[in-house]
Amino acid sequence: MKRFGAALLVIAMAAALAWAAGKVTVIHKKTSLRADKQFFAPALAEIPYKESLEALETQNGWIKVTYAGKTGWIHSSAVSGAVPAAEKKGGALSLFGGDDDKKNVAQEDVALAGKGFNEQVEKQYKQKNPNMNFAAVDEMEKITIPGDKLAAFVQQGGLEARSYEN
Amino acid sequence: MRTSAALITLILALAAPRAMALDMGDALLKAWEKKDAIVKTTKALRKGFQELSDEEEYYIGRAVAARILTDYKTVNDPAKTEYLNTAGQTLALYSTRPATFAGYHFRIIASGEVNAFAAPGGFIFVTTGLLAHVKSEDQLAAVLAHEIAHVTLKHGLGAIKSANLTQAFTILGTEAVKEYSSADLSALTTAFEGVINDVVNQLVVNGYSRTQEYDADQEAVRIAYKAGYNPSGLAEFLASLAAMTAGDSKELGFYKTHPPAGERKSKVESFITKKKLEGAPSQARDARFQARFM
Repeated sequence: MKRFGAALLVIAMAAALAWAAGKVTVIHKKTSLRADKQFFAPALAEIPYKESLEALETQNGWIKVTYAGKTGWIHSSAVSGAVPAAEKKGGALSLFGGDDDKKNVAQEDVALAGKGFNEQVEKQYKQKNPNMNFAAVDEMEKITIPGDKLAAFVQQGGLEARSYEN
Repeated sequence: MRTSAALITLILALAAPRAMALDMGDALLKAWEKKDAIVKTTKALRKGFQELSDEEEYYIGRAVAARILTDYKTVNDPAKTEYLNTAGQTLALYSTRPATFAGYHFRIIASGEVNAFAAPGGFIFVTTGLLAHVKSEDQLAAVLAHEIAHVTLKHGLGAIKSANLTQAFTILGTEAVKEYSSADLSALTTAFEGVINDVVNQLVVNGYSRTQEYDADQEAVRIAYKAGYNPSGLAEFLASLAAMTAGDSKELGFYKTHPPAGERKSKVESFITKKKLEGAPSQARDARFQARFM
């Protein structure tokens, strides 16, 4: 009976801890809310920069969140915030690795305060250096391959993901 | 007695699991936020390039890319560009930084020099001269993975002189407002210019240290292997470059900024043997590479 009670208590505690994962903030221009915990999973929505989200659960470097009424997974490398470090690191990420240990407090602080080298600094830099070819950089940034094309490329090329042990 | 206490706790937990979980969650969350607040107040000034945010890295990368694209013309070939980006963006997912602030982007630049550049944040350039020596998708993947590795290892940002970084961090550390005053913005832009010069000099003029190149080679092998490519692609590419240097060394770009290809090839082969990394060429990959580049 004692053991049964203790086991149930552990389960209740674990549930509470999972609930307490905390808030995360998107620190990239945007990040995809995915249907599953992998990059090739269908994107349910695009979450914009600085969006604050409740972390419902964390698994292997992926965080479960709800955005715009849809629940899915975002990769921890795209967020900063109150996710315990041990969870954020995710240990050995199952398929697609990600060292997310650089998303420190300074990162979040800089992002949220709008501090740092930003659009305003770039604008000033452009005024001082009008010959710099930023138009070509803007064009380059538009080149993004959708997830389904990447998945087809992987399949057609016989690219089977492998784990790497140090 | 202990059993009773445990049972009462259990009953309470079962009776109101959601409320209890919320209470415990709130307590833990508050503790975590309190810890964050303490760290924030004690960390007014950032110390090194590792503390640049992903957004700052992106703006540095954009300016470095703009400098490169001012000196080099891009090759406007949609089929090759899409292929390069599909391979590159796939490989990046297997790196230690699968995402950057605005993602990884790849562009072919017109130059006979055998060279490639990786600006911070994931702006990657490969010359037509280098592509002329690439013979398969596995070799191309190795080259792209090497450049991705420079981004993930933050080698470009590591070139920023501490004086420029300290100047910027001093202004940033004292400013809490979203809009800078004109004096601060002017000083910050001067520091930004210094930062861009440091990174461009490292990328284009001086090149990385031998250790950084060897580290990027090892990381490239890891990335390519994890993505399912033949890990020998890099050694094969370096072998063809080594053979080229033995004959004609007109294409100086790569050799100005990289250690000898023969040395790199030997180190890569030793690494692959030591780690027992296996892989094989693929007709499907060779065919789609040849359709675009041969």
